[in-house]
Amino acid sequence: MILLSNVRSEGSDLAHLAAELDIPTIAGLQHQGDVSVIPAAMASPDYQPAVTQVPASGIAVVHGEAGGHTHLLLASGDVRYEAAHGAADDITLGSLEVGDGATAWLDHPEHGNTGIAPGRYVLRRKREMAPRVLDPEARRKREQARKQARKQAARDQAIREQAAREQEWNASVRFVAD
Amino acid sequence: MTAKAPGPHPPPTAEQQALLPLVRDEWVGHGLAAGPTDRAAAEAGVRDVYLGAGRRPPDQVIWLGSPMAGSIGADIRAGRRSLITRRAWRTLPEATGEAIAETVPEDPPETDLIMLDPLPSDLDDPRWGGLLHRLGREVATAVEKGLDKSVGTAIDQVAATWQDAEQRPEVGALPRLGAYPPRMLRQLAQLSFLDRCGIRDPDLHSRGLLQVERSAGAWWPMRNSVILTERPIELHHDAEGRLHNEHGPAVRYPDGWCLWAWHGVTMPREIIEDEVPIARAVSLRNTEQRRCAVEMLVGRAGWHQVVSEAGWPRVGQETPDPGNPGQVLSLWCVESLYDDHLHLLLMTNGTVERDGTRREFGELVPGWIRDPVRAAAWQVGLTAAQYRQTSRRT
Repeated sequence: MILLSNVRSEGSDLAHLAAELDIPTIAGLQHQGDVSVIPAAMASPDYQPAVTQVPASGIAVVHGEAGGHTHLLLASGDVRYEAAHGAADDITLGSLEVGDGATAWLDHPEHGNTGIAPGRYVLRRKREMAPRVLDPEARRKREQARKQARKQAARDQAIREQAAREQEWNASVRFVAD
Repeated sequence: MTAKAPGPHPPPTAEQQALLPLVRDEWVGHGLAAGPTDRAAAEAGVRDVYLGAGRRPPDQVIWLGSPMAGSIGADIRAGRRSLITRRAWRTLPEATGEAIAETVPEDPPETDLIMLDPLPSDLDDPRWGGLLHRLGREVATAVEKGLDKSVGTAIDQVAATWQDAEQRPEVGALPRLGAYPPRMLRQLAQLSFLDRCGIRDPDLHSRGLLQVERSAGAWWPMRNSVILTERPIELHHDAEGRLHNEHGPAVRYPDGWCLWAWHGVTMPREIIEDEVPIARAVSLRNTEQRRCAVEMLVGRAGWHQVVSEAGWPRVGQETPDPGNPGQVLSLWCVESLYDDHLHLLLMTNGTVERDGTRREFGELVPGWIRDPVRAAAWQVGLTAAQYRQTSRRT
């Protein structure tokens, strides 16, 4: 796969290469792996004016660590990006403004490149729930509760069977007539 | 006590501090050593341990092949042969069990383990205390994570329980000597460091302890006999130093006792080695084992196969993925897997991998979400209607 990030050059060359690679440029909502590019209208509370010009070397929107890959923001023309100053667990990564006539690309070694058309965007990261970590005490209680439930189920089953058996006997009982 | 410099010690010099990582690596190495033991050195160390404590060296020196065998052996020495559980015997190959029963004499019964009492390994000096504490902690954590904790748990899990004691009062009455002995690596590493720094010479007893720990595995010193055990012949770790082997035992001892582990969690043998039905693997009773089994099966068979065979209820309808023509999103209730009200969103990657397949993802979303598109939208903080406008997903 040819990656824009392998080309270290001025914006004009990038645009040239992107045109050759035929990377579609999209203005709508798009997702690249775990990063979403959301038009600002959909997420207006998180949008803040972007001031910092994206350098020719690009900006790492998400740093690849622990088996992940870096999402690199590359630009040709007037593209500005402002990282969000939220906490580390905030899903908003930052705000992106692509000026008229300019193009931005998100570059990723596995997902390839995506082009971003002029407009204002909020970049967000995908989240998921982490399963609860059970401390030994909670786990013990839970396992005990399960055990109780299993025992109770077995007991109920035995009672039902007993009742069924008794009913069967009742059906086959007749009175002694002599 | 034989302190070279009585009274206050000078603060650690740069050279002494530079010794710390060396001593740490050496003792982590001893703790996680695999391969044959040096029996002669270990037996000489045992003699020093007993002589240094003012005792007669043990009459019987018994070598066994694994900590599990050692634990069983120590219980036989304590006269508890009939109280050793079937669970314990079954962890060993039959031949090994018979060999233990033949090797370990029952008479005269032992009543207790002798006390091991190395020199104090701190100096009551805050300038040294930090270094020594760090050394001890690093050695102890690395060895516990890499071997000791799993082995100790496995041994103590098969011991007679209070339920057994209710039926057979001897269980509580006779001493249990076969519990996994604490390995004292923390103190021994500290002592060895002080020795290398020239601060404190170990006495005969401590020298013996150092030598046994350098040359053999777990051991049970009793009044008149000692049980020494071999080290593992195979030991596999993951990148974080936890016990881990995907295809076979993570630890194997020369007498055939093995432990299977997945990233530090001890697993039943058949889950790792055999092709067990997915439904069986996801219904393991132990929470950690269950989660690990699913992680492992997903790596082997993929999420689609796991969810279709695990018997988890489907939530909502399967929905076409808005950003990915031809692919679908589905939602599954995995409460029984995580003991938590969570749903699993299953989706397929937009990009085809180099090998021509599409990567599948299973990601967890809160349990109140009952629609797959709503779940995918929640992941990026949008509403379902907004998410449906996706023009592209790669």
